[in-house]
Amino acid sequence: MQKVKILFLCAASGIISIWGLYAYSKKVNNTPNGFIRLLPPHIATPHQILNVGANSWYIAGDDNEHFFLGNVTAPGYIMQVGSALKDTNINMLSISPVGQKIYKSAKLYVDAAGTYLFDGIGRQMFYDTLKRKHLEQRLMNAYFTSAVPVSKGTLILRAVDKKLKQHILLKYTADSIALNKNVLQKQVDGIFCTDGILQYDRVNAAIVYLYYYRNQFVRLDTNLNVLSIGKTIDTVSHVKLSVGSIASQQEVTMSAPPVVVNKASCISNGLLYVYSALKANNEDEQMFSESSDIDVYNVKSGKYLYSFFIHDIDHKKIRDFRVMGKWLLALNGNYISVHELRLPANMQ
Amino acid sequence: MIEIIVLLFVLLFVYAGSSKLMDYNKFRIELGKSPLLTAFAGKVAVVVPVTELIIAVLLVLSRTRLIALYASFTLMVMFTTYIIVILKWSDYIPCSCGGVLQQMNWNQHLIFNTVFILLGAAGVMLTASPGGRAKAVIPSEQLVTE
Repeated sequence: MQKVKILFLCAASGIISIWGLYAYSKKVNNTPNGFIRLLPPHIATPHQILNVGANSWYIAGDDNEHFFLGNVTAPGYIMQVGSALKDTNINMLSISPVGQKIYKSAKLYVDAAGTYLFDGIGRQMFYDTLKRKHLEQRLMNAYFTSAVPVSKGTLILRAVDKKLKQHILLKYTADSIALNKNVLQKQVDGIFCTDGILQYDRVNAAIVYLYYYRNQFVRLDTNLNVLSIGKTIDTVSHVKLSVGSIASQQEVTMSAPPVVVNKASCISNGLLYVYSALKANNEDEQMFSESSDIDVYNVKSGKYLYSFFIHDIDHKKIRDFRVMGKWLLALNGNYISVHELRLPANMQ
Repeated sequence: MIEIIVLLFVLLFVYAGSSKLMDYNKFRIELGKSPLLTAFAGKVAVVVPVTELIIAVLLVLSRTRLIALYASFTLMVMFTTYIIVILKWSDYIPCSCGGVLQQMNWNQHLIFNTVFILLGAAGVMLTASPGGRAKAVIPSEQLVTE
C-alpha cells in the first residue's frame, strides 16, 4: 500500500514539475510586445470551409478568378479553387521533357500571365501560359531559392551568395543577370537572418521583400533599386536568433527557436497583408491563442492601416493565405477556407 | 522478473545517458529548439543524462535498487508528461528530442515511455523492501508513524 502511495507521489511530482515548466514557458512566450493593433470589427467573415485531407498543399497564386494550390509531396499537381470552394478540382500537369528530374523543393507559381514551376536547385523552370496543362522546360544558368516573374521573360530571383554567405537578389532575363548584393541586410549569420518572403506588387510594379525575423519590408523597383524600407508594427528591429553547428551531422541549424515576426504574407491591390506571430499589448490572450492576426499595410506609403483575425480551424493556425479581390483564402492544417473581406474604406 | 525489469532500465538509461553526452553539442541544440526548454537548455542538457547514468548505477547496486526504481518511475513520468504537453499544448512540435532512439516519432515515444512507466511501477511492487510483504497488511498505524 505504501509503495502505491509513494508511486503516486512520484507521479504527481513528475507531472507537476513539467507542468510548471510549461506554465513558465507560456508566460515567457506570451509577454506583450510593446505595440498596439487597430482592430476594426467584421473585416473578415468566414464564408466556406473544406477538408482536403492533407496538409501538404501550399498557395501557388491566383489568376484573378481562381486560387491555385501546389503540393509539396507531388510537384506536378495543381488544385484550382473558386471563391465559393465549390468548383474545386485537382489536375496533374504534364511536364516536358518527360522524366526530367525535379527537386522536391520546386515551387509552383501562378499569376495572371502564366503558370510556372520553379526548381532553383535544378537550375530550371517549367512554364506554360494560362492553360495550365503542359509545362515546358527552360534551363537557367543560376541557382536560386525563390522567384517571382515580373514581366514576360523577366524574373526576380533570390539566391545565396557564396562569398558573402547571405541571401541576395538578382534580376534574371534570358540573356542577362543583374545582381544587387546590398538589398538584404545581414544581421546575424546571413542565411537565416535574411530569410523572408519575396513578392511582387503588380499595381505599383514593385518588388517587396518581407523579412521573417525582423519588423521590416524592403520595397524595390524592378531594377532592384531600393525605393523605401517599411516597418511592421512590432518592435523586433534586430533579428533574435542563434545559430549552432552540429559537427557530427555537418549541418548548421538554429540552436534556439527564433522569434518569428512575420510568418506569411501576400499582396493584393496595393495592400500588403502580413500574418504576424506577435501579440499586441491590447490583445486578449484567449483571442490571440485561438486565431491568427493579419496586419494590413499600404505598400507604397509603408503605412500600417489595421488588423483582423482569422479564427483557428481544428486548433491549427494559418499556414499560408492569399487575398484575391474581396476573397481571402487561408490554409489551416488539412482545411482550406475562404473568407469574405470588407476593408474599411475610410482607412487607406 | 524483477531482474529483467532492472536490466531493461539499466540498458535504457546507460544507452540514453551516454549517447546524449557523447553528442552533447547536438543534444543541447536540439533541446534549445524545444518550446518548453529554451530558457534552460544548457542546464537540462547536463542534468538529464547525468541523472540517467546515476540512476543506472543505483539500479545495479541492490541496496539502492528500490529508491532507484522510484527515481526511474518518476523520470519516465516526467518524460511522458513532457511529450504529452508538447503534443497537446505546445505552439509547435520540435522535430526530435535528439540522441535517444531518434528513429521513433512522438507517438511511438509515448507508447514506449508508457510501457516503461508500467515496468517501473511493477518493479517497485515486486522489489522486496525491508519488512517485505508484511507491510501491505499492516494497518494504518505504521503509515501514521512514518
